[in-house]
Amino acid sequence: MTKRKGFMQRLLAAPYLVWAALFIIVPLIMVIYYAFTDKNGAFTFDNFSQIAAFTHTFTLSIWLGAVATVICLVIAYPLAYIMSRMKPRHQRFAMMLVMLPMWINLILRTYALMNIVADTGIINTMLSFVGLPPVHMINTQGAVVAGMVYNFIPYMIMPIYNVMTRIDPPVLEASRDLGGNFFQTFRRVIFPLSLPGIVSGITMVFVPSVSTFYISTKLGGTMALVGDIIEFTFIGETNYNVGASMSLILMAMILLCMLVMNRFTDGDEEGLIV
Amino acid sequence: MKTIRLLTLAVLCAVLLAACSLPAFAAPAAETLNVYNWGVYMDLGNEDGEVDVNTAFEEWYQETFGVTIKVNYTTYDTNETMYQKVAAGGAPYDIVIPSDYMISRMIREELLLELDFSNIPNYETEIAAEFKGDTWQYDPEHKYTVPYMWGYVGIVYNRNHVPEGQYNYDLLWNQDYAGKILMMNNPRDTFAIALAKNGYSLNTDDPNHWDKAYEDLQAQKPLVQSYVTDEIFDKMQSGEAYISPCYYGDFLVMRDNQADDVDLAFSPIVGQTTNKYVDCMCVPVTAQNKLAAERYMDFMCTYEMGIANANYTGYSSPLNSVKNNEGDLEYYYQEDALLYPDESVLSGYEEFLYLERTTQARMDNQWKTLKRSELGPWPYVISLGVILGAAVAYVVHKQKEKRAEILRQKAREKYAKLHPFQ
Repeated sequence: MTKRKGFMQRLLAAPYLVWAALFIIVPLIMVIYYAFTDKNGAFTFDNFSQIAAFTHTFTLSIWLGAVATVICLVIAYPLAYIMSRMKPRHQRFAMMLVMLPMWINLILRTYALMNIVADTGIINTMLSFVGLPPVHMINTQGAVVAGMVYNFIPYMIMPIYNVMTRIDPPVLEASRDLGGNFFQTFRRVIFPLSLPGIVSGITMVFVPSVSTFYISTKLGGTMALVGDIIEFTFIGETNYNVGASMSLILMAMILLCMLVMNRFTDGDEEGLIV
Repeated sequence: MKTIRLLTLAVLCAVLLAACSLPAFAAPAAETLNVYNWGVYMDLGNEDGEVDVNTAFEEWYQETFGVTIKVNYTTYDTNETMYQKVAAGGAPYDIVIPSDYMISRMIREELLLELDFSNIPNYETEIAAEFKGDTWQYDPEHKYTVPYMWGYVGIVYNRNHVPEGQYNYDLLWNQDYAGKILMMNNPRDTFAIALAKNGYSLNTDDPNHWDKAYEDLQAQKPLVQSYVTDEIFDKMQSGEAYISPCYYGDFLVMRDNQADDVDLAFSPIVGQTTNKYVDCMCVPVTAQNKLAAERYMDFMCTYEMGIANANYTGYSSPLNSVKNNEGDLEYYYQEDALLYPDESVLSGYEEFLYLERTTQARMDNQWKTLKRSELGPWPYVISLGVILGAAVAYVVHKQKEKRAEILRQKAREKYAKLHPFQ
């Protein structure tokens, strides 16, 4: 009986294992293969030597991704806390408001934002309507960060909200019974318990922000982030080898950032992604 | 346990059933034709008074050959995207519509099939003579292509901010319009503008010419609002940008959609060369239904379809019947002198030719270098500050814990002294 149960379990897990092998492991191996070979398939390190010219682009991408992640965290954390303390009916409604934008495609959302922050866009039209001077927003680093926050903030709210709802009210009552005020309760109880949510939220916002290419093209004017350069290397230049080596470096840098961050958050919480 | 097994069985059955029935759903058409075209480049009858040329083809095919056919119509946004898909070989497109330089590349790489022109009788009678001689170089022997649309690049500008006039590419380097200038987001078009500005050929292989073009583009970058593809429409129509290089056909569409306080005008390039282009219907080597593809090309060369597409896209048609509007259909742009300029004007313009591999690689590299972002010192300073701050906080925290531990230890010792026998 137990043996057959094991078989059934493995059978049910099979689709995902096949999926992971086909669409995660194999592509990763291909990226590594292309990164270390030249056009004829011979082993080489040359692809990486080209990357030195793009150091600033890598740094800028990571910098903007980090800024967007911090802003997301600052907005999402209190919101998630407040949401988790609402009545269940209100919670469902608030949840829907958070998720609603996700029903719209990222490209459409970014295009819409482009029209909102443009010099002749909705915000500036309203400003001039009430007699205020226009504000130049589009084609700046700020606009790109705004685009990242706008697109990825649900990925920060969701995991934090999830861990917050799982904090037992009696735990908070216990803290208060022992004489803890709100700040002490927050620092010693709520914050440590919500850490896993923060860590996965940061990962889920930081990674797509750093590697984005659509948002920077539409909102950044002449700015190109590392995602734009990689996209052009693959599609425009058809140079898979250099493109793959850039992707690999980007992956390594993201991994490094996540490792450093995990060190600061004690590293052994559950729910870690890296 | 039993329920799980039953469920699995049910799911498996359902999957099997679905798998079996899929071909049955796709079956009703006896033949299919996979057309892969640029976006917004063919009249699909989305608005009143427009013709869905693909439906028209399906009906015509049924009537003429007695066979039902289904057109699978998909779109791409750059020649390079299309090239990738065809070169990878996975997608069995029967018709693609690349531009001149991409055609010569695909011919060289043996990605296109020779056409059987006996299936395309309209080619002989309808296509204008200039596409059959040696005016154009993309398909020198005229074996692989049937022209679909053509045009040339000029400058679109907003008359409310830029005085009316005859311009050339120097306008795109004018400091007065800093931040209001658009450029195209692909290396070939953008470099062509800088080459033309310096009086070089668009197809030069001289590295010095490309270096000079690169320097000029580098100098221009601070003036550029954005490198755009299809956003050019939104940005010009709304008045967000004032000046942009632009295909004449696109300008016609923009003018029809401009905002109230925007007044767009077009200037052909004066005193410099510019790019003229043709997009042609071709059959890639992966095609499954070449005969139907050729019949499709033939159908697109009819007067009715030509007018529908010319009205829809605003581009110049290679069909004599459309240019002269030989029938009784309405052709919106018939009176437009700039849509079919004189041969004397066009002969000064250049088509993109296949670039030598080293030239292509140099251009791609310069493009990437041009586009990479510069970064001020602030991110580094702030990052360093944050890391130092975190380190200090960590050390302070550890110190505090140590002190607390010492206090606790002392308390324990004191307790032990007070209660020595416990």
